[in-house]
Amino acid sequence: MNYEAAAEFAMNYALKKGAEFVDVRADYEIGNAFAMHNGVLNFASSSTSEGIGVRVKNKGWSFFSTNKLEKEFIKKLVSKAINQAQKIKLKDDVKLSDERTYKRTYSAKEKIKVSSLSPDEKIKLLKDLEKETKNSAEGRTYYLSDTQRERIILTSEGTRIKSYIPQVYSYYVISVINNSKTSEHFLSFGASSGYESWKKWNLAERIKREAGTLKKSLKYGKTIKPGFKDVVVAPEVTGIIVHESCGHPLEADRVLGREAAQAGESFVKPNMLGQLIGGVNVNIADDPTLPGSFGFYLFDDEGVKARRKMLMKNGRINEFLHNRESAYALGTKSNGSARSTSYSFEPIVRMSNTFMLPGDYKEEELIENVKDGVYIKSFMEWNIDDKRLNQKYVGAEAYEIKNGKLGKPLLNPVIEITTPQLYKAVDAVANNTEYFAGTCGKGEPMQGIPVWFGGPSFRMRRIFVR
Amino acid sequence: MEAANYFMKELEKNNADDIILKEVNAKNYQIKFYNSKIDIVKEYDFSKLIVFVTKGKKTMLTSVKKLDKNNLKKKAREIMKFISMLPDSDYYGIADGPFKYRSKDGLFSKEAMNISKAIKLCEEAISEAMDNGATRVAGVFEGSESNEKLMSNHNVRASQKESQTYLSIRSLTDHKNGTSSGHMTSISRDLKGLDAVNKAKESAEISIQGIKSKKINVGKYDIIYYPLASSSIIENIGDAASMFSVETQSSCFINKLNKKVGNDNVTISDDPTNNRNPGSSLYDEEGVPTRKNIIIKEGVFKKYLHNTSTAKKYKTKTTANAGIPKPEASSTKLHPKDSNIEEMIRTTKKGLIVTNTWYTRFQSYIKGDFSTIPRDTILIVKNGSIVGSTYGIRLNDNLIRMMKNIELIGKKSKPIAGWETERINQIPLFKVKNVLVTRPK
Repeated sequence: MNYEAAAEFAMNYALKKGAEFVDVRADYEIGNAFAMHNGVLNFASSSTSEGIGVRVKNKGWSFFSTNKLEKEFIKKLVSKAINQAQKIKLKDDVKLSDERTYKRTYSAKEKIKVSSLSPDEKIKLLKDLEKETKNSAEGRTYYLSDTQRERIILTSEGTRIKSYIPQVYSYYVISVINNSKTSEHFLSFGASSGYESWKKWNLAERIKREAGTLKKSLKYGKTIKPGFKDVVVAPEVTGIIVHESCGHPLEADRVLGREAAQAGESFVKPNMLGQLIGGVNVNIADDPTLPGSFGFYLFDDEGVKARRKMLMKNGRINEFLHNRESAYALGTKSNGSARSTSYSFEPIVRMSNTFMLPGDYKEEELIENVKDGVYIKSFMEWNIDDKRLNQKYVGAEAYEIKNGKLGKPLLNPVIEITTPQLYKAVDAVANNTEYFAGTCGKGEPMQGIPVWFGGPSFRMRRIFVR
Repeated sequence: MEAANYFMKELEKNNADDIILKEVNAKNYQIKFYNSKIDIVKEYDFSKLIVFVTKGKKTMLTSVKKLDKNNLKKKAREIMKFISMLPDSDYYGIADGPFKYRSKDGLFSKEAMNISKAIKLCEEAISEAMDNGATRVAGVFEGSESNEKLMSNHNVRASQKESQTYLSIRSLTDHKNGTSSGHMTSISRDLKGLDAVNKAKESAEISIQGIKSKKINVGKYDIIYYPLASSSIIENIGDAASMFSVETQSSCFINKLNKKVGNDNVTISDDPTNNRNPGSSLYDEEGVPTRKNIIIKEGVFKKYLHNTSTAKKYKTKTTANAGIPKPEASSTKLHPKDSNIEEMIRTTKKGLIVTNTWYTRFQSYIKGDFSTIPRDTILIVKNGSIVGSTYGIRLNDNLIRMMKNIELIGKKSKPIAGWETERINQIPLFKVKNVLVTRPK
């Protein structure tokens, strides 16, 4: 059987065997990946995967996944899952929110089809990138991958969603050396599209510019005198900030403790909806419906219709990210945030494309108004605690701001700050939105999932920088 | 191996040069629990054929799922068409067999897949943690069995059947000032070896020690690392020793052969040779019998990790760390010495005991600069005694500086797995002097 027939078969068999509720996710995915270091191809792979993941409620819950799509084998796994769910003293209050059912088919737009390029044409993209940038940085690792994923989602309530999503993803790591000092930078781009996105990313220009500025920083950069300063961060830094300290703490499964032994819990509690934790001009959304985005989907992996979620509105916590389990637990409806990396994992609460909404300023206007401050264009090291409260961002490319103008480059300025301190310090937001791609990790087994994060530059007043 | 044999012949018919095939059949289960109750039981059942093929210096990694002859015939043609379009890689060959492997004893226990027993143990562990001070318990209980066969057209035939069990249990204690927590993990080949109930108790005991925590000043502290806390850091030392990391400029051991990178206390090896330790293996991804490789001996960097290809390139011998197509560490081991927690505490004037960390991130892989965030209870040590606990801090260090500052190492090295690490490493308790501790102002 192919994945679609296997999904239908598993659903029907589970219902026949008396399951109270069943949902099935089934995929067929083709993927290619290539990596090059300093002009030498050091990795080429091509793979296909196909399988089903089935969740069953029969008093309690069980889940199974397999890539063995023979009828008799699926029958065996379904029966075992139903028995397992019934036999074991499972938590009795895990229920799903009631949701509308849909029957839909959709796909992401793909102008230059992923399948239309041969492996050598894809590698040529990396070779051309190498050719254009080889004199700019001493170390150059370039990675390019693509996937074409067909997915079907079935629920015993009647939902049937079929989708086709092609994706293209690339990252680079550059390292530059000056007088035995080194600086490194990593950045990634991705889209749910065909290869038309590659051109838009304009990686060669970005890499050349970055390598040049990182070298200048090593040569002329100075360390910062620690103190309270105004800080303007550029879109790359905005993206990681909103993902880590707004998106993650508002995942309802973390709020409810389901991820306590893995990605952790949250400083946000259920009763904090509506609480002011940021400046009034801070608005942060998560929106999987953005066309072409890396976190694109129109229905989540429980078949719930996707929509934009305003996580923070005028500085207030506005909405959690929910799947059907967390929505039921908190007495609300799912907002379509259930995602699974592939058929083989259970769907859990995830971000999609998380970004700060633009304000009215130009980036230069944010800088003009700063007497003594710091501008952080890009970062390398970052981390945040498992409650999403205490975070650190270390600048890769950064400058001092003196009397409204950019000054000398700064060597690795560090922001170490709590989430409310950070968002409360925001006084102005620019309008230069950019998005960057990432693979967000959560769950156990680990589920890496494609996301975008981004937004415009914004300014924080009087925060501690060292 | 019938399908693999047939596929090998088909690839050879299509003029492939080097071929490695690995057939894996795996089953695993996971019991997930949170808020002290089991939430869901998950089972996974998979099979795959992993394929590495070369033509001249062109290399490709892929997998095949449908193992019927017609599909294999078609797949062989497709692979060779794909590979013909690739440019040359920096590739020098795979290992020539045949090889003799050590005994398989200890790799497998049937009991690992006894889900009913695992559920019972899981419930007992939750109760034990609750009885010892946890107000909530979360975690996973897992078991797996994997049956694999590996063959190459360079006279390699290898196979192993292994099992693994894993417990990750985090006790959380809610109190008027917030929540404290303690996290323990355990990994074994069977259910008994997990020592699940005792691990649960330990996690709760750590949790309650963090109830009355207070802020500390930023500055330099001696850090006593629990194995779970240091595993992600030690794992990075294994990664940095791979010749692949050196070649791609993501290692702090570039040009460090025979140079001092740690103090005399520090011996670190890559050692997947103890069958009873999960993470061990009879052979690497080329089928070369695994061995213990000393990476750092008494503070001196001695050996990069190689597969056959990188070994040939650098005119040395493989360390049995393939990795297809790149050499990889398998299980990084910090060798035990003769200290213990009591001595570490007694000899510390101003220090911290870190029971767990997460989010270890590097500012520079070449320099080895990193920071990591202690998670769960952090104990304060002052003038040789534990005087309380703290929270909300960050450790800032450098891999080489850390190895030069390792002052004391515990007696027992045990396999440790965690959510933050990719591999199972073998680490005792150890103490590092003068680590910069920071926190938000």
